Amino acid sequence: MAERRILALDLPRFAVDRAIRREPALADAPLALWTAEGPRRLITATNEHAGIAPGTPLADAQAIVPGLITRPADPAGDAATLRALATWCGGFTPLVASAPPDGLVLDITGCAHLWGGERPMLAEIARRVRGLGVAVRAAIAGTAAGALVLARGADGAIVTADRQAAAVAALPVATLRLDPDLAELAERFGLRRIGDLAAQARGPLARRLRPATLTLLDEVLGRSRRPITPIRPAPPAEATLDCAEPILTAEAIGAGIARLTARLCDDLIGRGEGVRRLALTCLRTDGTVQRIGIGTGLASRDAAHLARLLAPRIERIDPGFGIERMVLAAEVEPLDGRQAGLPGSAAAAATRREALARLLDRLRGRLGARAVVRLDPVPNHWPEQAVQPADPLAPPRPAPSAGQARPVRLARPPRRIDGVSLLPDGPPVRLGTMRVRRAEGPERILPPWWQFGLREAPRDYWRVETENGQRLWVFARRRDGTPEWFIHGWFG
Amino acid sequence: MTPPDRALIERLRSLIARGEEARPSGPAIPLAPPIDAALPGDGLARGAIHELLTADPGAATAFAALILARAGTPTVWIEPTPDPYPAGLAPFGLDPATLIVVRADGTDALWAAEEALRAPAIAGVLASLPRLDLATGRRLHLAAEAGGTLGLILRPDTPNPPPTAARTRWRISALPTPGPAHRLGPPHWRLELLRARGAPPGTWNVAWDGTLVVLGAARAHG
Repeated sequence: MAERRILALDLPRFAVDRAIRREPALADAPLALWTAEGPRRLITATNEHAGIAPGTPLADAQAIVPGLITRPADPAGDAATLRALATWCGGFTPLVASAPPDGLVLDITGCAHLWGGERPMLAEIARRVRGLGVAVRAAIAGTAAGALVLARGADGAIVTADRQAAAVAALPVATLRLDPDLAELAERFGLRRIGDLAAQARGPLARRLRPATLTLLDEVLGRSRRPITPIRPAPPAEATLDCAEPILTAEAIGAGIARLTARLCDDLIGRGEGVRRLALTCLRTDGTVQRIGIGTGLASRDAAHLARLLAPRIERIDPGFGIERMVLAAEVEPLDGRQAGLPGSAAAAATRREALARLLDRLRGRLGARAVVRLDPVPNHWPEQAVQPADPLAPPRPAPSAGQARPVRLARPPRRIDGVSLLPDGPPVRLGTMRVRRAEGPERILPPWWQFGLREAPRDYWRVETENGQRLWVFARRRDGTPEWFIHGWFG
Repeated sequence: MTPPDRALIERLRSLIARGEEARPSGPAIPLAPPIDAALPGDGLARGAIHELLTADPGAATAFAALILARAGTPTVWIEPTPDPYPAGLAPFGLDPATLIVVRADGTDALWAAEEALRAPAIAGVLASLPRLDLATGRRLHLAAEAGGTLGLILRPDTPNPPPTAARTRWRISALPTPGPAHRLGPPHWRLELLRARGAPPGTWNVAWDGTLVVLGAARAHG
């Protein structure tokens, strides 16, 4: 196996940092977190203004530090935040594992050069974590356990595999985070440093400090290693329906969809998520699979709406001799309970936006996503390219400043028309059967040669009014000196 | 007629009346004071469809755009091959950022128009429906009523247009403008109100110069 490089992050005051992130005012006060153990309340962590050993009873702590602010510890919240932090670290390397309660392990093998080497990468990650308001110590070694121990005992250390054993040997045994009784035992034997432990005979050591300690020690010293278990993305949002009798009719499939969307949406409320894409897989009795899918413009967990979007596609399902199982799987994104906290007008706007999104979903469902767009003006002088289709719900772009007059409709493509002009570069006096009474121009527009090369000729645009008042946008394109006329749009 | 029948009819009548008032559709859309004065409700009614016969495509499109812009946001534009040009519509007040352009033809276009008209989230809908029959028009009208939405139906100008379910029917043509031969001033249009429920027909010559200015009120028609 190729040598791996592991970067470990130790978050020495993670629980306290989280409490302060929630209540920034606590940063400058003596703060202690406590947990209930049976009838007793014990301190679990403190900030630098308090300095009380974990395990101290809460009442004692309050007596020792006047004005001590206390908050209950939140291990579940800490664990969730640690997982979120691990996901966030996925921006540095895809292989990230959390090392609860307060560590992260990143497999940076082959990644460091992207950051200019291991030391700049280490510094950058540590800087960004600190930017989140979380104290961090970091180190890089050949194994996860080794890197973690180094982070705790020698912040900033970067050691190669062959120097790892020597580097960790000097660190105190406490950095191993042994169970308290084992740590006490080691202390009693006078084993203060990891090197002291490593120097012991393996048999007696395993007997006294349990085999798990030996395994840990081997990993820390780099003698053996365990692959890290990367965090996985959140479990997929799914609902399954097993049919008692194989179903055959569109009505039955529709009823199944209604139950599945209701179940899925119930589940998503708890997860705080909404559907962006939905795939319905129908397993037939003959072992084959039928699949339909839809997408939504805004995340939704409105079961009726989702069922309506799927409804027109039911006819594409061929039930064969019957469907025995239906699985509805969703691609989701966070969707908070927006109705809860918004003031009146914002809530109304959100509701309107959702109603609009539902209409767009229905239109797109039948006509296709490309048939339902917003036309964004883009700063491009070539008329055909001054417009770009966009998602109607995307944030609008700033409109380019108004320039020359432009038509309300653009002919796509420009329509060839016979034109007569009196002067070689002059306005048309006749277009087809229409007599031109008045003309404004010309406005010369050069083709974007970087796209068309030189084969596209420049265009001389005129705004013209015919004898009966019709206003047109026409251009002359010169080929071999003679102008060819085109209608390119209509003015109001 | 027996008394229970009369009671039933009364109840149905009140239900129907309530149904029609279900969604208040907001004030009518103003065009220009002299025209508004001739229309019931002082302008183009929301919660209804209006038909524009396009004697001139540019003029009719521009007129439709300025009505849509005044209807509010967002708006929907349904055509078989939609070719609205944002830079040209902006001067008529229509913001491309709030315009949803839908490419649909035939029954798809009718369906899209009905869906959009029925959606309370939409302020106005423009649909090019060259072959809109009376029954379908009535259906769209009901959808507009339900959604409180303004509907504009564009159809080509023909000498004898078929009967319509729309609240009003207009013919929009361009007029030649005075001025020098090398410069185009504000466009002039002729707005012919061919049919309106609760109002006599009329014709107005107007100019567009950021607002709609009535030139000579040729009010009397025929």
